[in-house]
Amino acid sequence: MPDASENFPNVPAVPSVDHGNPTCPLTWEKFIGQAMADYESPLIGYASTILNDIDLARDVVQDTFIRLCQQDIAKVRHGLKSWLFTVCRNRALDILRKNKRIQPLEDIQWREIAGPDLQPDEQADRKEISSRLETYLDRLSPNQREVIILKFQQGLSYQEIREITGLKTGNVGFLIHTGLKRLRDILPDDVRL
Amino acid sequence: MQLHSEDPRLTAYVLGELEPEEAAAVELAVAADASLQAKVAEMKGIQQFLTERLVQPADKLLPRQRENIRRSARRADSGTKVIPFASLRGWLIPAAAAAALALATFIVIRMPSDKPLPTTSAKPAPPEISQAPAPVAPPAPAPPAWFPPDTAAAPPALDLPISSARDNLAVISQWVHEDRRLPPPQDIRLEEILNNFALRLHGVSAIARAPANTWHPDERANAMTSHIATVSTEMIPCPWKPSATLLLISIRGNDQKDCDVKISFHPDLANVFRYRLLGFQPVEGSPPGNLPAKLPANSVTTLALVVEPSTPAGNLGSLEWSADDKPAPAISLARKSDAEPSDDARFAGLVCTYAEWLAAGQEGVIDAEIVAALAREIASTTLAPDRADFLNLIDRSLNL
Repeated sequence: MPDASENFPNVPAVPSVDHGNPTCPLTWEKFIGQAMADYESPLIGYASTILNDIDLARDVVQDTFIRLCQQDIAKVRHGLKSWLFTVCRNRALDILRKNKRIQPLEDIQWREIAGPDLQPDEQADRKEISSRLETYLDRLSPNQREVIILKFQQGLSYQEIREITGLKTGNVGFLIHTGLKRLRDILPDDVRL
Repeated sequence: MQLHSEDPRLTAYVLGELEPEEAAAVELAVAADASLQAKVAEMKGIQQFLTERLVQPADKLLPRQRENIRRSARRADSGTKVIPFASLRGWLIPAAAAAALALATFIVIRMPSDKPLPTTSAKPAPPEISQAPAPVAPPAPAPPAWFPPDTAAAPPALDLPISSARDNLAVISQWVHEDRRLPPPQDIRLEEILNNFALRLHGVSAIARAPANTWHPDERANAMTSHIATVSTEMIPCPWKPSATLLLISIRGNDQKDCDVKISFHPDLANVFRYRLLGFQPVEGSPPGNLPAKLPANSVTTLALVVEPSTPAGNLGSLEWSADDKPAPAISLARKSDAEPSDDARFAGLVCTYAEWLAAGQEGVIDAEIVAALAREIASTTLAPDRADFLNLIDRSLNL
């Protein structure tokens, strides 16, 4: 996952956008376009794991980007990835809290997480493995599950996970360590191979 | 460095999360301990397994969602404050509905008691209507025209005017987009704003057809020539007063010929407390006389009435109408508590709420929040360009 600051090398420091200046190198439209290109799918994937609903996840991600349009680029560009995931997470959890028809965080069912670019037989194999992996991931604590998803599916660093979840960095490391240990203990060999 | 096989730093080392100095120290410790080397190898295996299996999905936003975001970005570029209508189809609908319900509940609690106008006639005086384009309006808005049924006299009815004018929306747009000000309340013509949108209502409809023997021989093969006018209705909870019903009436004329449509609302005295036609405020200079009834060819006009029921269920009355002086089938206004409002009726409800807010017709009852909440709800559906423009107009209006 590229660093946000690398994605926007031309972003001016202050002011964020010179609205009346046609020579300004960065417009919101370009900024948002680049952000969407980099983070649209990861955010949808992340929101889907929380909401277990692809349509709701898309809605959350749309709202996340619209909220981004209301920010000062200078304030969010250096931590754009963390900002996006944080807002996306909060919006998704808001929905979970407000919409009782959706399962609470503790009962999240993992949606299909196999990649889309595989051959049909590979997809079938991975689907089966993923389905079984979901079963084992669901046996972790919600915090362990979330940090493992953020680490291994989204490729985020401990620091980024800390910023998104509000956990302390040490706690993030400990949760990943204990989560992996738990997975090692419960994953059968045929799933891991 | 002293490490044991279950030290979290070993995991952090495998995942590349340690600072260089600490990573170097762990590396030395691992190199000196076979059990640690085995643990590191196992950790790398599970890391690889999870990284491969927890593949990033490639789901994308829908085209309309991407366009919504781009539109917000363009607004930000133009320096416009963005109100996040956030067309979040799935989850925002209940959220917006809940917000609207909470607002409506609050409104009901603090709503002033509307005192009915004293009425001595069984048939209330018909409201006068504006001429398009709207002439200069009087400084003081007209009082609310509530028509309580008079049980001491003959059954009352409210004759409804037919107006196909639609210019007022452009006037409002000019005020908001170009002058960057809200228009004066007396300049608002709800009936003209409604006429800008082709609304397909999902309630009871009735069609007036010309008798076959009146057809010109050349027209007999064309079934459309028999159609004079269609009246469609739908009832939804009044957005700013949920205990009341917003009765929407859409009248569509012939595609090729003008027609005269006379229509009147006959309330059911057992179930209606009072009712009011929205819009059609008296305008200085408009002549008294018969209500306009001319419906130009290929045009649609929509009327909106607020009906306050006195009972929780039952028939609110009927619409009796004629087309080109020929009686048409009456429409019974039976309430259905489980009826889901159509998208067009909900949009009409937003139009009415926005216009009443601009006109201060429900001052103290409708505020910007309820308009915004309704707009968000409407924004959650796929919108035609003219309706999207209308939402933009509301967006601008709320930011002035």
